[in-house]
Parts: sequence; structure tokens; C-alpha cells
Amino acid sequence: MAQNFTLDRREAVKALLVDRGDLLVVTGLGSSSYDVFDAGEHPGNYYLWGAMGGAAMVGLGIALASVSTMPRPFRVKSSARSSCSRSLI
Amino acid sequence: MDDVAIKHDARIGQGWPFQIYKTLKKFGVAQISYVPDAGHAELIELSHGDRAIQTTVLTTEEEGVALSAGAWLGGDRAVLLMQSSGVGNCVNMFSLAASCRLPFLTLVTMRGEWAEFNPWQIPMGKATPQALEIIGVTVLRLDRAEDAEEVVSAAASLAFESDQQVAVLISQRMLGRKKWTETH
Repeated sequence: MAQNFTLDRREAVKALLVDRGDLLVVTGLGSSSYDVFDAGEHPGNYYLWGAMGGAAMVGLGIALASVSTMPRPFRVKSSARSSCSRSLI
Repeated sequence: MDDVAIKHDARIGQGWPFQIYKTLKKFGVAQISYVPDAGHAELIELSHGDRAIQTTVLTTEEEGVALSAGAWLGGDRAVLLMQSSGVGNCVNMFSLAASCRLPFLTLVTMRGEWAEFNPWQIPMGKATPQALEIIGVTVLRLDRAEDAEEVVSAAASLAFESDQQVAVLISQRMLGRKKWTETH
């Protein structure tokens, strides 16, 4: 019997966001926004439901601003770049 | 920090780039993103010399639209510097500022409108004001160096105080004829 190694994206995102604390999350486009919302609405979520390719740079803008104002970790999840996920701390 | 960083550089004078820089400082702009551009060179240099301004070099102009959005979300005011040829790259990304009603300010050096020597600059140069307007960006023109402070100040108020997306188009005639010198 062939094994199925397909990753369930919805479950994977939930696992990534367990015990997230005050982690900020920026999503890019529909699917990643739905995944992150389904993992639980949170005031640290910012959903880009369009503007393809913008999520990583929104994250960078927040990070640069946060250097002085509110240092905290965050993650960008973008389906526009397949499953690109990066942490900028 | 409100003080402007005075550079001891003979090329940095009191001209329009310095007037723009002073105006952006007055409005508390803390982030500037850009792609390399001769027209913006002096303003870019002034920004690099200012510890209160964080500069980001972009690979494509639309990244700067998203960066400005993030800066605002994080509490910073940001400005994107680009050439008219980059405006077309940004059009879909402007839906981010429009949908989320985020302030946005860009200063655009014009190509393709005055004594242009490169035919490839003409189509986007001619389409620049319309491309901005069809996606909802307010367009202001800067045609005379002595108006730099007033026009950029008006644009910054519209953007940061009235939550508008605003572009200032800096006239190619004001920038002067581009002199192409080959280097080997």
C-alpha cells in the first residue's frame, strides 16, 4: 500500500501557531488567510486577501518600525510564494 | 529626532532635494524605500546619512507599497521613491493601501515627458498619471524647484493626516536633461 506523505496545510498552520503568545502574523492571499483564521482569530493577525507578493514586505515594514516601538516576534505566511514562511525577529 | 542630518558634502546643497528632505523630516518620516535612481540620488544620500531614517533598497517598486503599509501598521511613516517607469509595477499592490485605507506617499521622478532620449521610457511616462488615478491614487505635480517644500508638504498632509494615497510627480524638465556618460 502506497503511503501518503501529503502535508495537510490547514493542520500544519494550526500546529505552527500553537502557543503563539503575542506573535504577529501577516498572511498573503486567500488560502493562507483562511488557514490562519481557521487556526483561531487573534489581534496579532493581519490578513492580505490580495496584493499578491506583498506579505513579506508588510512584515519587513512592521519589523523595521518595531525596532523602536514594539519589539515582538512575527511570521509571514504567503501562499503566493508556495509555502514560503519566514520568521523575522 | 527632528534635526536634519547636515552632510559636509559639496554636492548636497540647499536645492529641492534638501527641501523635500526637510519637509519629510518635519512630518516625521522614519522609513524611506527606493530603487536606485539618478533623480532621487541626493534625497537617497541624505536619507542614508540620517540615523532617524531607515532606508530599504527594493528589487521592484511594488515592494515599497507593501513596505509602507507595514511601516504604518508598526507606527512609522514611510515614503517610496521611484521613477515613473516603476509606477506600472505597483498598480495591483495599491489595492492594499486602498482596501485597508492606509496612508501612502510616493515621490516619482518623471521620465518620458521632457527631452527624453530613450524611447522605451515614453509609454509608461505618458501613462503614469492615469495609471495612478485609475487605482485611486491622488496625483500632485512638482514642476518648479521653489515649490518643492509646499507641494511635498501638501502631499504629506493628504497622506498622513487624511489617510489618502498620494503621488508627487517630479517634472523631468525640473530634473534637467539626463546626461549619459559611458564608463568603462
